[in-house]
Amino acid sequence: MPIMLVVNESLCLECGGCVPLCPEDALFLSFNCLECNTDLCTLCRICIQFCPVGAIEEGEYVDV
Amino acid sequence: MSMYDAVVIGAGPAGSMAAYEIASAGYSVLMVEKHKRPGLPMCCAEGVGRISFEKIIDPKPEWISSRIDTVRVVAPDGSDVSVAYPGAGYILERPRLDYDLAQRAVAAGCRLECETIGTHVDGNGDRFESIELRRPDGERVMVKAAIFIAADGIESQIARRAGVANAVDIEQVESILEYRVENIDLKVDTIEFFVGNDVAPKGYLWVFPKSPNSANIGLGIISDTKRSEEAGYRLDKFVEKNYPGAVVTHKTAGLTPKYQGKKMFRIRNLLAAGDAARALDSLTGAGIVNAMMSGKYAGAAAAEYLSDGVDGYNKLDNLYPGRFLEVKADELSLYLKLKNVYIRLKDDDFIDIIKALREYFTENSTEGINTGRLLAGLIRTRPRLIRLVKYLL
Repeated sequence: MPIMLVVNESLCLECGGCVPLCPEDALFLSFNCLECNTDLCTLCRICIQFCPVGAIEEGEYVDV
Repeated sequence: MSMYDAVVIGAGPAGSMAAYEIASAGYSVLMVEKHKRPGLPMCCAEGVGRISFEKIIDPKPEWISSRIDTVRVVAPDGSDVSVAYPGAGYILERPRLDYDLAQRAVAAGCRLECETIGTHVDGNGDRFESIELRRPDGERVMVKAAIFIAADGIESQIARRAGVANAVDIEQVESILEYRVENIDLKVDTIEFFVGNDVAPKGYLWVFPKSPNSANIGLGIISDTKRSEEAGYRLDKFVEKNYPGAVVTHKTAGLTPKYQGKKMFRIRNLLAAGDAARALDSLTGAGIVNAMMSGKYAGAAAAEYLSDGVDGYNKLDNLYPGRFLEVKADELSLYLKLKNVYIRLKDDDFIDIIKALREYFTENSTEGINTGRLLAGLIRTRPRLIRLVKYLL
């Protein structure tokens, strides 16, 4: 199963601090949540390192 | 396709100041805001210097939570310096300020559309001509305009997709975590900063009083590890130790990007203001006044551009960011250099500097304070700080 970024919406404070750090421009602060474009994400993990509340995690992609 | 003279993206302090300038000059302006209303959710420490704030706008009493007359800095060993500085600053009520500034723009004739995101601008290579707007139901519409202002914060997609901004280097920026803390006792006229690598590695911790019983307590840190563990652990530890019985009622987070110079402020007929342009004090992360000011200058430049008084980008550039940077570039650059020194300070340096500051302010008041003279004095009395001078050049 491929690994991808998962945003834990119950922890995310929607500060947007991770957005300008993303080298691939894969993160986007939408209306009520942070969105990750998994097609662009290279799993560099910079956003995971940055996030002051630990809201971004690595998770397994499950096709449903 | 609807059409305006100008579109402003983001109804924070920068966007609302810009929209007000454009609308007041008689031009049609659409301002879009992602959230349901301007000012919420609040994501800020809310501190401003009084003099620079009042230069931009006459403050309403309801914008002000507390008036600051004393600044206290605490060293890693617990030694401190308290500087009496009457009228130093305000802790604001940002939701109210932001709301009122947006309404002021609306009263001047600006159209405000909330729950609307500006995703990107489109053009013909020489000029941006339209912007795509997105609404919560997924609807996307294009709006035409002659000039665009990106005031959509550090997360600005508009500026980045137009080619103004590059990715920010994580080694250079702090991760910020802030709590609204209630049920505590504190001096409502004093802001406090705690420094040192235990309390906030390569950053600092602040206590900004909102009332005699509540404060914004936050920290910014730089570390190589997963910062959530550092930030949460250190902030919780500080609050538990210093304010037993405290109740955390709200959490906010963020990042303080560094000032990146002129290149961030304009590309063709797209002007960036506030955090979107990285127009902030790199040392402290203070951004409200710079956001309002850059927004005001960007709005004034846009109005002049619309009046056909500007026939090319050179002239537009002279207006914005030209006029803004004429006033602010030296200060923004100085803070960036001071930041480069600051992140290299060790705990012993902090202790020495705070001791030297205590000595300085025993003999001098804050009146006519000269940063250069103060720094020179510091290095004269604490020679080992000389190793850091190269970062100021």
